[in-house]
Amino acid sequence: MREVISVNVGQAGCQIGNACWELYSQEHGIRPDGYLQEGLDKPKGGEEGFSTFFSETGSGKYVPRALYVDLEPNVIDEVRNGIYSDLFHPEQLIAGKEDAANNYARGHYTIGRDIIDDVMDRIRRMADQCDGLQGFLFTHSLGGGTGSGFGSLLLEQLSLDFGKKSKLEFAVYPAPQVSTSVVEPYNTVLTTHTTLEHADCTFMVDNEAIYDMCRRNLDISRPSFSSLNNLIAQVVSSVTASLRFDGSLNVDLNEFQTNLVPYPRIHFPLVSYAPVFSKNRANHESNTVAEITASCFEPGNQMVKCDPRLGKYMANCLLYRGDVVTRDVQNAVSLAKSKKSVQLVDWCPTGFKIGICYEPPTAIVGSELASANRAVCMLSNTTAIAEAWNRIDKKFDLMYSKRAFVHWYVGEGMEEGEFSEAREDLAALERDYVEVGTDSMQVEEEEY
Amino acid sequence: MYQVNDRIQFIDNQFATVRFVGQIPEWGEQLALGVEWDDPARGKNNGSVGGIEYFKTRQAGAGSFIKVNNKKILNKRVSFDEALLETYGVEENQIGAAIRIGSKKVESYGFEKLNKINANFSRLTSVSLDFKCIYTICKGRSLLSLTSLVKLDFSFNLINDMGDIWSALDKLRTLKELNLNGNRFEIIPKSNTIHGLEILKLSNTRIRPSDLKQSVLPKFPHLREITLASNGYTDEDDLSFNFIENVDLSFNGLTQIPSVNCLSLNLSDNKINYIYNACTFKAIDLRYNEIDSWEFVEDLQSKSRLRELRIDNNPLFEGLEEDEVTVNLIARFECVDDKSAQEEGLRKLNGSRLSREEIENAELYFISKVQKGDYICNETSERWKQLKSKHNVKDEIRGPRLNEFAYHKIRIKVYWNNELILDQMLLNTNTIMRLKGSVSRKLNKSIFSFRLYYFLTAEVKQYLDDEIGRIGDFDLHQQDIYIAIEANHVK
Repeated sequence: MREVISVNVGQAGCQIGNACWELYSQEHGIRPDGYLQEGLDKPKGGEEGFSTFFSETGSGKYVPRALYVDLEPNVIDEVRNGIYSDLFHPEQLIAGKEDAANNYARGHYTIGRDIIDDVMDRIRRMADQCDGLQGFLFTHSLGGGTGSGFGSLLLEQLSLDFGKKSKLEFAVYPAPQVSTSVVEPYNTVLTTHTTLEHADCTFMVDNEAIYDMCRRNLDISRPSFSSLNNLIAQVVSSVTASLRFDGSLNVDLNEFQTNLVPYPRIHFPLVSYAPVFSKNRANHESNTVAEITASCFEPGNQMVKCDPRLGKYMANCLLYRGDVVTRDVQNAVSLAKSKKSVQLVDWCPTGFKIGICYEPPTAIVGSELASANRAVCMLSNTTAIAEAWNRIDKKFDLMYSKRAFVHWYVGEGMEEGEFSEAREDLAALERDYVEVGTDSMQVEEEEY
Repeated sequence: MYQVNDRIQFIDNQFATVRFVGQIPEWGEQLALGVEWDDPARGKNNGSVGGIEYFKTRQAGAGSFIKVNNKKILNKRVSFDEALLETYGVEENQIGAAIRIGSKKVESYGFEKLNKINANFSRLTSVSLDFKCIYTICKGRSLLSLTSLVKLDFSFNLINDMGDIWSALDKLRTLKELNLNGNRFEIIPKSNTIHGLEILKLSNTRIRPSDLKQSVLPKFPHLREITLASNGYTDEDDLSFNFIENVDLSFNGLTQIPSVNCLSLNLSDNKINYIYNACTFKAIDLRYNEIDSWEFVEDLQSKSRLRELRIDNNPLFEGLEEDEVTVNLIARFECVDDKSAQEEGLRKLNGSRLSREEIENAELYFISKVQKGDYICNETSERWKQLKSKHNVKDEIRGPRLNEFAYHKIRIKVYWNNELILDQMLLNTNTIMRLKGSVSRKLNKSIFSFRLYYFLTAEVKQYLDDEIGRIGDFDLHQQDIYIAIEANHVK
């Protein structure tokens, strides 16, 4: 038994969590009330993988190993009253009374402190039910108050209490298109600084990239949060597929780190997913293995807006799902290889890996995304992702140079020094990326 | 050798049907093939060369003649068994360490197991044999071993007899989804047996509706979804099948909404701009059509009870902001939010679900805009009355009303030396001066150095010299405007 506990924090985290668990239960043949679908005698996709994400109660009901935390009750109430309300145990849904008001300091210091003990208590109880806990899967936003502030606080606590366990994050990177507040750059920089040494591997999901995908590939003119979240869920499901099904690559959380993270700080792999096209167009697009592989290397299919052609890959994992044959994969990879833009750094032992999960992807009911009988998800640690940090740092500087909105944070008991400290840490991160991107072989000739 | 009606694939993934085999005087002894391309744009003629007609193409201009040893012909023709074995059967296939990217070997995991799984045909649930040059099912022995097959992708192959497919289906009793896109069937016999297929894809097959009705649909009484995209259907075709849940008729040439008995209808990429019949379906996709008036939208509302609608990317919305479009659509349809228990009403608009606030804001904004005269709405319609009563709006407390046409826009195209230099949406109330200003910026010439005119009749030019006149005073609808540069004007 290698259990994984999913922790969803804040509005974005909980909503993405909803979309994900909806998809997981469909993929494993679980009904919204937690029981098996008609005609199944055991969950789909192998007992071993399944039990990492679901636990079984005595009555034959399956319960997700998940925890929802939010500082305000609205979103959690939606879970409580939604069609998946019976799937979760009430203990798993924790809501405070007062929201973090988009303020990192409220989530991290004032409001968050009141609830942290309760949350840690629940997590400990869930961990006690596991035979061999692998680690945690975090979902939260970087821009919101609860997601950034409370998310980082919780990660710190987990580090203290479960030091050896892996902690993987799905972090929603803010974008002006679907922005809820102006202080998102502050929250992002502050939370990244705090979690940089606590999270082992962070998959970033840039709202702008997802938004553009919805508009361009799914032809939704005004994507709503639920359209974005459905797409994110599909991607998250692809990343976790190898944990949940009998996969071959990245079958446990540790393996993600060993395959993708050469240095503890350089732990932000870029995720790409293909195919993404709308239901009504599915008949006019072909998704051969070669095509979906090629689109993974296109910026249009990435979860973070950046240009990998300008950077270098340190590690690369291609995870196929569904109806593929070996020869097609071989040809597709040869094709990808012939691209000049695919460059790997020479010093890093992690390389180019290909894995397969035999279960095909499932489409969420009511989502615009077409169902496909095969899909591919690429996880690559590329230096190009530093672009994202550069972008957010610039926005941070713009406001911080005038100390705009800083008083809201200081008012909640935060020291102003934390701002400059966090900003310096991020600058160091950007420098780290530049450094790992340069080749090691430049041996200096001795000169006197 | 090739026979008439054989299908051929070319190395660039183009397909054609052989319509003539023989010699033509132009090539002497050389054996020629007269082919009809699936993509008519590839063709050169209608089946005649040198004044002699050798065959007649079904689509105009889709024919051409090629030599039988043409290097572009893909000379691969296999049977179903061979293709299946070649694709899924081979166990020793490995991703070789031969592939290196930079200095790195490509490592692969789990492919031995994949090969084993694939080679065990009785466990396969999904098989893709697209672009495999399959020209016959032949004995189809392997079909019997595919005992748990659910999805079969058989698109873009070379089979031309639907009878082959029927006999294959008799052996694939578990099949639920069949993709036959891109095949062209010359022979479509009736079948005596029925099959439990649920999803059938027949895009780009140019299958005739009569064949569908007589031979195809009776075989599949449990069909839930049929795809008939890119089949060149027009308004003359009778598409009234028995009820099927989802019907896809995108990329055809329909100009009015056909009466199709279904729940969800995809009509994107047609030429729709007219509704004739009442609509029974609950969801429709009308993207990329030629809808150019709000009357169409109001007509659609009154003739249907839609739950889902996609209507973006039509000429009507050109030059309008996304939000404006949404407001107009929300208000013209009766929308309900996601959590509403109400049965009827539009739930999903252009791919997004709506929230209650969004609906209320849009409706109130729309009412105020209509009362100001900025938006045009049929004020005798049921929907308008409903809107007014819902929001408790009294009649006629409106301010001085602007010209009825104040909000109308005109599309202006200006040519100079036969070249389109300006293509702009302008308000009716803009002055000629404004138009000349735009032109002058494009030409980089002074506003006094040219005159604009359009043709009233073929000979009579009407100059637009009244610079403070409004564009709406001239009859510029669908008129091209030209530029005259006259010597006495130039300084």
